[in-house]
Amino acid sequence: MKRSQVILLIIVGGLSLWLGLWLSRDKAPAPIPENISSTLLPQGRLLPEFHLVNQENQPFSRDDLVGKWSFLFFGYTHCPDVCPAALTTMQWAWQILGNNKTHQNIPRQMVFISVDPRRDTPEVMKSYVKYFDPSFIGLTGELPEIDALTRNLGILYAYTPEGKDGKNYSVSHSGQILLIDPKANLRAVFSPPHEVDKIVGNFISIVDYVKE
Amino acid sequence: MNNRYLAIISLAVTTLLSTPLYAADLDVSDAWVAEAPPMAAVMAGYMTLHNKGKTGIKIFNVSSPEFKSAEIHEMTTDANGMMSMSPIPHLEIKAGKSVTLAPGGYHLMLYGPKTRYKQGDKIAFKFVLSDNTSMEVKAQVRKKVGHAMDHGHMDHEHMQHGDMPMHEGHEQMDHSMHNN
Ligand SMILES: [Cu+2]
Repeated sequence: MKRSQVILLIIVGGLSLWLGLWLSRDKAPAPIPENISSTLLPQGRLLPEFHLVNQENQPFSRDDLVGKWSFLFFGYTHCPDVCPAALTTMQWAWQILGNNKTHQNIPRQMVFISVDPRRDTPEVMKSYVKYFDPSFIGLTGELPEIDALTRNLGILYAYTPEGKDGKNYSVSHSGQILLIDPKANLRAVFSPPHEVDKIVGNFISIVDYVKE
Repeated sequence: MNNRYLAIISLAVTTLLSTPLYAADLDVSDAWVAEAPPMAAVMAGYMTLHNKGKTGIKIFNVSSPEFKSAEIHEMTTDANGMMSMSPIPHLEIKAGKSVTLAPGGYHLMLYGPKTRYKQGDKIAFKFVLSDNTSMEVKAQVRKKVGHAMDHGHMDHEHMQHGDMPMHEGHEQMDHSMHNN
């Protein structure tokens, strides 16, 4: 390698380093408030495009997450323990936020996404989510579309072997509740066990933090 | 006394001695089935079992006329945070010990409810125990509460939130939030 090439490399390297620092200079996030105990993404991360259907069999895509805060939970309706518990937590959080004097008007939605679309038709999803709250959204669709989301969000799931009648399989899955901001960025991850007061408290702190 | 009488008497004596043995030692409390959304194909049952006897007791089989089939399931979480439920061949309650079936831990996995069961309904279960006898357990259907997942196998006391009407719970929640 010639001397001039080495010098060029050093200059280019230095410039890119400086450019990187310059670009990130005013993006440096404010310190995370101490009262946030969930995993917070200070910058947020844009969700990939996805195309699912809601409980009314209407299309639901990333655009439908824009303009409001969304709580996402991935599960399946043949889940008698973990999923109803998470959805009940979301139901309580929904009701508590509805009564919260300072934050009740923040646009928000609760979304349950099936990882078992073979059994979870829009009709099944409808009766399931409605039980928790008439406003809750239940999404299902093609597996590749569901996978586009789960892979990006770090949600894992796997089917267990089928039972005697081929229907009694269960689905192992991650238990996190994800918080998506009004620009469709992943903002926070709540890990189980879920406590409703923790979720509500964190949500309020995160909304205020993102606003600043 | 002829042989036939002898046989009947000995049968009666064995029955008296064996039938109530394990069942009498096993106290079941707070048995409940979580109310589920309409059309739900599965439900879960929970309870606390206490063995006041001197021998370990195993529950081998669970059934109920209200469901197509029933199993005892355990929830586990792997290193990646994936939660799975899987049937266990039997549930053992050691002598003098208690085992709690609670959300996030053990549950009765109830497949194919015969109808839609709602809060207040009573459901009977039959447990087959390790001495080959069976016992009946009555459970009440009730709604799950938001707290459910923060309690594992052991922490049973707090599950009594379940008896609390919804609005009371909210007041408590709001209150604890103001304290934050
Ligand atoms: Cu189960």
